[in-house]
Amino acid sequence: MKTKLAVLLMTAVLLLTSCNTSPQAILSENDFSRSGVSGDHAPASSPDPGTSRSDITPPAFPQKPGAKYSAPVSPEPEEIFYDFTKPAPESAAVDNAYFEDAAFIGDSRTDGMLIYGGLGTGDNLTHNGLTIFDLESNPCFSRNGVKYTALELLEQNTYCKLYLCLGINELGYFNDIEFYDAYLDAIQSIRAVQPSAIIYIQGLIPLNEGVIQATGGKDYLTNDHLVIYNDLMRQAAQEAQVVYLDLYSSFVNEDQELPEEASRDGVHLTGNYCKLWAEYLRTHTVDPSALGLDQEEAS
Amino acid sequence: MKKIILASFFLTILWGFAGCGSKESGTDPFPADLTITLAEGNCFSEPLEELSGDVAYQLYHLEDYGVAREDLTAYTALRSSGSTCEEVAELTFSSGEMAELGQQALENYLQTQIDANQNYRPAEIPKLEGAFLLCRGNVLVLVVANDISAAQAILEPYT
Repeated sequence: MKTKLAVLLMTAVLLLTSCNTSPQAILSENDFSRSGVSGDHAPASSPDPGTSRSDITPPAFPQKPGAKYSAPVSPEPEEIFYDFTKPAPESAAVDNAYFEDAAFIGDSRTDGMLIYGGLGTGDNLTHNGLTIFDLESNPCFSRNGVKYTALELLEQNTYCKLYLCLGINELGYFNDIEFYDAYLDAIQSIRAVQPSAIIYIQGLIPLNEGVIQATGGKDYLTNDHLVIYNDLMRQAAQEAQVVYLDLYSSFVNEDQELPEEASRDGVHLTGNYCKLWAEYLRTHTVDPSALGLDQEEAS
Repeated sequence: MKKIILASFFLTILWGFAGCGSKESGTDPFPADLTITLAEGNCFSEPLEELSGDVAYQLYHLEDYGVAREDLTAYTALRSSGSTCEEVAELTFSSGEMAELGQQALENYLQTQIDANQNYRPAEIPKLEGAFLLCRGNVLVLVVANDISAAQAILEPYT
């Protein structure tokens, strides 16, 4: 009788133990199915049971073949967590060495930041008048007498950070949907050639319309349209799951424009403001592991 | 044989006095305050921003032309931060030979600026096409002015 009771008690204990482990098993299965990996090929290690499923953001953006984002890049779910609905928060300042494996894609504004900002490093992939529509189609970059598009130049190196800042020259292009789509396409193309890089989308720094008018600048350069573009860029960053940097908020004054003393033509920043831009980049960085990027493999 | 050696010696001396490469390292045929004179001489339409030597070295792609960073021994470089293409630079190199390489780099830089601004800022093209690029000994002077005639007046003794 005692033996039967002992057997019953042990069975009950075993049943209770298995009940406690089942939520973890369900979570793992769901995670793997979200990542597009079948249970047969699931990694041996299970996700952290302490992380709620809502913390894990699935890659919603369509991936090009070979893009690392589509795979479960980290066995630890909390390591791929990043809140793409918000701009990158302020972080501890990095030194200029952080930018040694970075490339900056942009127009004349970014060129100014690289020349006067004091970073002193990073590949300069800027061109006057460059637009988001040009990345794959405009061979405006000359290297040793050969012409390349920005994307072709990107393919020639491996970068850990890519800073993209385009949109000012597009303000005269009144098709916001195409602008948005072009940003998504650009991110997808960049990710395809640099799958391990952190992609930073830099929101547009405001303009000073009074100075633009006084110096004979283009009348389509307005902050009203720039704010719309910033919102589209932020949405594109969220959609594509890349980091958005809210430079606008750091440079706009109480009149909702760039301070007059910040630019001599209302568009391009003076040296001191280029330094502020560079300082913003130093203090708004994201750890690659938070984005599920394995940069050790890339390097 | 002696005649040949003497002729070679005098030819070397004569070549040494002609244009770039004429001066030994350390001599400056331009006045020390030339860039300041130009900057304060109504040559430019805006105050120009100062560049560091490292930035100037990168900006002018001197490395691509075989000039090492240490061969750029002294510099003054002032440049628009983007509103215009105006700039003034006085670059001193370790030798006349390095200055010649620097001259090639700056010629290419000017052409690149013209190409990059042809459609973007056509109003800047006359300034770039009217740029002064002077080489004396181991010193190069580049001037992209708003008022080309004002710059010409200041640079006349050296052109």
